[in-house]
Amino acid sequence: MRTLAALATVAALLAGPAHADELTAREIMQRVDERDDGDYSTQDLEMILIDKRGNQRVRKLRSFGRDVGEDEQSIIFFVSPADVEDTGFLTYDYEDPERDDDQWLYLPALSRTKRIASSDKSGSFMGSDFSYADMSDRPLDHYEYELMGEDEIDGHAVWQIQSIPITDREKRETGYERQISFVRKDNYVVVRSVAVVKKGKRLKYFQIESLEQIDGIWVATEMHMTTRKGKQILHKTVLYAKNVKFGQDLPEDLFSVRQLEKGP
Amino acid sequence: MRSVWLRRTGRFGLAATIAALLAGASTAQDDLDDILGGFDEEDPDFEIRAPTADDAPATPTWWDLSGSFEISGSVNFLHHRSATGTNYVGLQRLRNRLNLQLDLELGDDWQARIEGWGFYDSAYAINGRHHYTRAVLSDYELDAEVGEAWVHGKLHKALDVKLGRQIVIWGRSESLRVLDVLNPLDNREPGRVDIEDLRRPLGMLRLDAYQWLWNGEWNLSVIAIPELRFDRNPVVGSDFSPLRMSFPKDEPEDFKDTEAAAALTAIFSGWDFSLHGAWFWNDLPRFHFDPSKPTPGRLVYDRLWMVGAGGNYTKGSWLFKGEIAYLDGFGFDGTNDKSRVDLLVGFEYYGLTNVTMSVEGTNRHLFDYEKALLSSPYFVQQNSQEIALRYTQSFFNDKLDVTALAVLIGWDGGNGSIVRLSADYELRDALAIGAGILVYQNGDLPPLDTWGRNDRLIFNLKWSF
Repeated sequence: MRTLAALATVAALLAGPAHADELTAREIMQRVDERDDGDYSTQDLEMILIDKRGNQRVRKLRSFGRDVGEDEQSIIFFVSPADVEDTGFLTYDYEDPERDDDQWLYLPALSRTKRIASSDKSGSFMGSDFSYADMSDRPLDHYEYELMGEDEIDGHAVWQIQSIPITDREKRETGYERQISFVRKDNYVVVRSVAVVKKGKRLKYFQIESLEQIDGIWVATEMHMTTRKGKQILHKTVLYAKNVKFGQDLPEDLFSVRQLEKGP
Repeated sequence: MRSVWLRRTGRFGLAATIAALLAGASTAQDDLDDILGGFDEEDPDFEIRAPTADDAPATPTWWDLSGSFEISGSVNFLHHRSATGTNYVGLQRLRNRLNLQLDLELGDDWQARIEGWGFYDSAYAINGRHHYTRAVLSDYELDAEVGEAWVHGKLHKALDVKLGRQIVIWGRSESLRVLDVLNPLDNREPGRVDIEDLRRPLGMLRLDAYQWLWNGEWNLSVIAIPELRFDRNPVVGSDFSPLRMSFPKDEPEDFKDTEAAAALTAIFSGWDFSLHGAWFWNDLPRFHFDPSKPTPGRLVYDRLWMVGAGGNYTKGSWLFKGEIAYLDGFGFDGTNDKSRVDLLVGFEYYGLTNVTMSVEGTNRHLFDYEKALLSSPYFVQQNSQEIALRYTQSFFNDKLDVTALAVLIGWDGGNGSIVRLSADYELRDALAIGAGILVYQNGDLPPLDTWGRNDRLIFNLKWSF
């Protein structure tokens, strides 16, 4: 499964917690990366975009995802608001970090599908505080990790890990200088993180407010992403994932331009 | 071994360095605490609404009625008299437009759509209808049309059919047309027509076969177009028409003069290509003198052959595009039919956050050219160019979109140009307001020699439902 569940779903206890305290930062992040995040998934997403005056806009989406080997494919359709209804977004996200992802956008108002060059991932995803980089798996080898300490969040023991991009490509694609993540020890979910954004010296706070186990897979069903500059909140996005299902009987040609133009 | 830098600092320097490092470490820890403290700082103004109560999937029901209501206006800020004497200054558009669209889900594999729109432009009543020609009032004051109206379904796992009024966009260009020859355009207010209303749907029968082959998605499309409609251009008396009188049109007949087209498209990782062929009517009429008719001066449409190809290639943040088309059958009085090659190259750049830039250029080369074609009534050059430059940037989490578009006729814009600067702001969900400016520059040849002094401010308010 791609999209937002990828932010928070976890490795399904690949190793017993008995040895977990001996893991290095890199090994922990590898387990986060190798988590079972499900396959052949469907979900409804509701994004609430809140500006600094408290004005709220709502985006509803329907999302489908599957794995093809190490690569991931997803197709997302806007359900509302009305002016963007049926707008579709098809992505082939390749595991190989040197390979550019393939992306297509269908604009129903123009009856047109556009191919998009996808290298820059620091832009806002559908107007939210999540960037396209936040929605993608990031290549482990493009980061340097440091285990900063241990803590407790909502009664769960966590590791505090700093990730710094070490390749120019990764720095450019994400726009992040560094990221501090809090990984739950019992299930390898990143339950909190803060990213230092290079442009504008902004900070982006990610927090899981609701975490559920669905078909044995941990899924974040409520996530908050807040963009701050200093003490001031610039914008905030609340993301709800509903009707999350795995192992669905999705048609083989669902992840195609043909389907993108046809709608959900 | 101590570093050269440490040896030079000496004992005092070493102490200072240690102090600085300690202070730095302390500052770094303070910074970290500040950063992490952000998790605990909630703003009381941010009251977050709960998600939609229903837990039902957000899939559409079997029917869906949607649409929009829009008020749009133009204010010309230069005095400009049309060829028929109307002074186009001040408010020139105050259009109230309603668009309705009904979508039906007819089982798993079949869908249908019927769409229609209508508008009333109150600017003519406000300014005084007697200032305008009958043609202007007929075309610009009140208008309504059935838009897309089709049934689309799956005949077989790999074969789709789509029957009815529809839009088929060929080619890769955003702003210029080389391969995109099937649907006519609404050009009544050049540069102002909202892009979603630019193309006029046609009644077609379209069959699409799909196949995954060589890691690519292949599509063979075969199209018959029995409904013939043509470009809507500025009418006599309008601000963009150089004519003082209209000419009768000899239009081909629906069904009897059916158009035919086919395309083969293949989409691969990082690139795609398509091949196109069409036997169609040129949407833009030409002048023809027929002395056997009571009104000898007439507008006729040429039947053209077109074969062409197009493709995209992506590399990093760059998207490159190209199109080429060979067209045959352009008629001119007093000489033989001509053929033409149209070439387009361009790129889009996505490397700046929330910014899209594109540059496109075309050259159209007419073969077997004769100098007489440069004069009345054709005003055709052997080589004609168009350049389109587009810049779009989103601000405030996609609340504000700013677009700059320039279309230059001729390499340097010497044959005319349109520049549009506009901004669209989302007031709340599905309610948007827009404003901008359109600047026209005269060209040397008709009809662009009358476009100057049509500069205008534009605005619109659109509610979608």
